[in-house]
Amino acid sequence: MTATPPVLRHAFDVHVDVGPTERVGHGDGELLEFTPVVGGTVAGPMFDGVVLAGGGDWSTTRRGVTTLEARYLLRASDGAVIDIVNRGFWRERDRYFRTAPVFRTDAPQHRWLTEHVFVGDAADESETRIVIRMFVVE
Amino acid sequence: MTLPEPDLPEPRLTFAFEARVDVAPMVPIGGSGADALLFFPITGGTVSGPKLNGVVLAGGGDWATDRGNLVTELEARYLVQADDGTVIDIVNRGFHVAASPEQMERMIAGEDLPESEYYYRTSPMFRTDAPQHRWLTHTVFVGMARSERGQVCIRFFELA
Repeated sequence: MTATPPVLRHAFDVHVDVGPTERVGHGDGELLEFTPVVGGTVAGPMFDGVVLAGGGDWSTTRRGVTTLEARYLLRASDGAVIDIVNRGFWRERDRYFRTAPVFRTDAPQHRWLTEHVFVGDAADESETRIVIRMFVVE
Repeated sequence: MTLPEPDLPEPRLTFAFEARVDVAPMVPIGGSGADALLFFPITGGTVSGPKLNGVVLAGGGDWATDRGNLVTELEARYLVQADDGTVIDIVNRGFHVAASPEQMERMIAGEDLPESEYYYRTSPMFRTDAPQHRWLTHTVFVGMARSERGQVCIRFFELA
């Protein structure tokens, strides 16, 4: 059976500035770390704004795979605040860095963010900055 | 400020498997404000494709929130048993967006509608400790769903 995948359309890029990672600890072979979000910018064809300071990424690492669970806020250029929960994976062996973000807002002009499935393609831009290219699944 | 173009690989979706899920009649639970919570029990089904084959176990279901604006937020949780006996947990969140109130009623009544007439996409997460299926637990997937002959059929694509 063959199946045609849905189209991924580039929506915007989130450039997240992060602070130093805090080691929280581990149990049963699992390491929990917290990386604070301190700011950033958002730019792209479908959304422009900034990343608000606050929140961060609670990541869990076991056996070479890091499960990411980031939560923070975006402020659109029109002032609306949007909550993002971005879950995903970082695999050391093949440098796979992908996410599946979920957005929340009641601002009518940004409601589309809360009614579509997205995926994110991430990379380190520097020691203190991560870029996540967000695609809407059409 | 102009940012440099990020050096990112183009994401690709590759078909992994399809789940054909048997769903019992919807149970209305209630709601608050504009939202209404609906429960669709899952009673069985099959999984087939290049990356996974097995059955859907009875139990679990889809806790769907009808937002009252043609958008239904989906949150399904159930179990798949692979051919090798391994049980895999799936949490599948997503959205169904209908084109009109009439179409939404037809969908809830279980009628088949052309895939092009609505938006029905999901973002699944899998859990298992079986080594041969562990890749499911550290890979991002996208689900493309439709109703067909009383079943919900979801094609899962691996994001590379």
